[in-house]
Amino acid sequence: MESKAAVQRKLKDFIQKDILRDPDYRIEPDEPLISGGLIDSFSIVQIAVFVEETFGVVIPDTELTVEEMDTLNQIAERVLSEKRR
Amino acid sequence: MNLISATFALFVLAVLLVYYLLPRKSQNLLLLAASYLFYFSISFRFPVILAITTVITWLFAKQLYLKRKHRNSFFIFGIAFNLAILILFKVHRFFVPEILSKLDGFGWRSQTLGLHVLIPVGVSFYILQAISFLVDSYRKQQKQLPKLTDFALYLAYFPKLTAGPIERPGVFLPQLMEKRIVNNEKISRAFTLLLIGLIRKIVVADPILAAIPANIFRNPEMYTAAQLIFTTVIFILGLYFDFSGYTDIVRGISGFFGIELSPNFRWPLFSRSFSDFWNRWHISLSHWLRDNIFYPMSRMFLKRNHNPNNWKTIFIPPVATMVISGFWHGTAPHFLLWGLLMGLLIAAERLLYLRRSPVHRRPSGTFRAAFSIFFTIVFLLFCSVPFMVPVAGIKPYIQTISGFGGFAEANFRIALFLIPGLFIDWIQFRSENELVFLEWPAGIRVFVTAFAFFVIIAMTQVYVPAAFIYQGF
Repeated sequence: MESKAAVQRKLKDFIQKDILRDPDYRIEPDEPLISGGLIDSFSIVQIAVFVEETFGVVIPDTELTVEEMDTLNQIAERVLSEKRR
Repeated sequence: MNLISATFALFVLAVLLVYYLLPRKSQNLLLLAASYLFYFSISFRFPVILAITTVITWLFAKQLYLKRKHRNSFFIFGIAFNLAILILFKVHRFFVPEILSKLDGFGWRSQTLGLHVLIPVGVSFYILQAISFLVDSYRKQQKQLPKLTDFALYLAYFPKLTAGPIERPGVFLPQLMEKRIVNNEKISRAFTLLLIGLIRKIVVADPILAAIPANIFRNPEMYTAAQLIFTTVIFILGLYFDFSGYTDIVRGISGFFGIELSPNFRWPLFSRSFSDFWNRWHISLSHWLRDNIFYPMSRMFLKRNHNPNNWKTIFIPPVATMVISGFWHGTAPHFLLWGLLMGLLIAAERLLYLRRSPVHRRPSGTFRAAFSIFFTIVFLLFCSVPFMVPVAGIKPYIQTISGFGGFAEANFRIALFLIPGLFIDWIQFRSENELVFLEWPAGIRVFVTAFAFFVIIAMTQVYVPAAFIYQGF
């Protein structure tokens, strides 16, 4: 199974390149992405589809929330906990 | 039983008194009995429909937990059953006047045909919660199927029965399993919410809504441009304070029972974009629609075309979601038009945002933030016209407001009632804390509370508390 660092790196690259469209922007692991106004409802679905196709993990629609997916750390943790199931 | 009435206050006190004397398991049964009694006091028919919906939905959910085969069929039939109930009452209200007038035209006495069916108060709210429960059961989100009585309480819980908030099963049901802790801190939170709600409803919303001429949106040509524009703004603000007041009141009441209900508003008057607005206005409905319509639809389009900039991905999910939101509010064509406009606004905003990285999009500086808020609210107010004005009245409405004038006829003084409501919003928004008032020094809190109660009681002597608008949906 992939390490947390590897999952975070893939997620970070995707968010920088495809969501923020700014590869120079440094995302901190605990930076609030949704509540900080960087990610909206359209983008969170992009992340959910990326997670599904890259890691083979489906995050249910009801859990694509600010409480569950606000930071890079939270998303990576979520991916890993789903993979462990 | 009106929520703003001495009868309801006595009812809540009586239930609370017994509630605190009972052990936890019996507390849930007491709340269930009290909820059905409350519903029965509105109409004896309503609890029957709620009970049928509850039992049938729970039986479908049971199959989803127990069976491995035919799960998809049980899920689809369960959803279809609930949608059928919602559509039956919604469409029924839409078509009944036309059907009745036709029957009367033929000389038939329509009353005897049983077509005068009442719309169950709260049906639009509890059906969405029943659907959420089926979705969660299909995904087996809860470890085991909740008891029928717990599920029945989830749908019927009297503080939220008539107009929400639309609670997620995963948030509400676990609270029924836990021990209720009602300590001093929780009581002051509940009391503060209740007081804020009463101010919003009785001091702000009631006088504003009472001043709106009954036929202004049906016959806009009878009024001046200034009257129409001013009334549109006042009505939307009145609606906001009415519904946010309702939400605070029921959240406060529920707090006394040790059960937390979700917030429905996060200061929408300070929204900086259209999508931001829909994360702040009627949050429990917006999130239900987002989770059950917008996300699945967007996911489907993205998986198909792998292009977030494809027009179908940008336009279809928000437009479909908001048209369904329009239908939820009412089946009259003007609600659907309102939903279409709101969906197009969200999609258009997304289209504009594609040109700029979200990193550079965040408004920085007070002036830019204030401009974003002003632009968003003005645009939303204008696009909300079809929410109030029937389709036939939209053309005369636009014709009238385009001939700008008639300031003398508008009753601008009524806007003074907005001051306490806007002040509360401003204080809460600045600290991003709805209970910021609890941090004030004790002396000031006692003075403000006593003054607020004095004003609330004085206002009830002048204005008869009206029913909450959203109880009509």
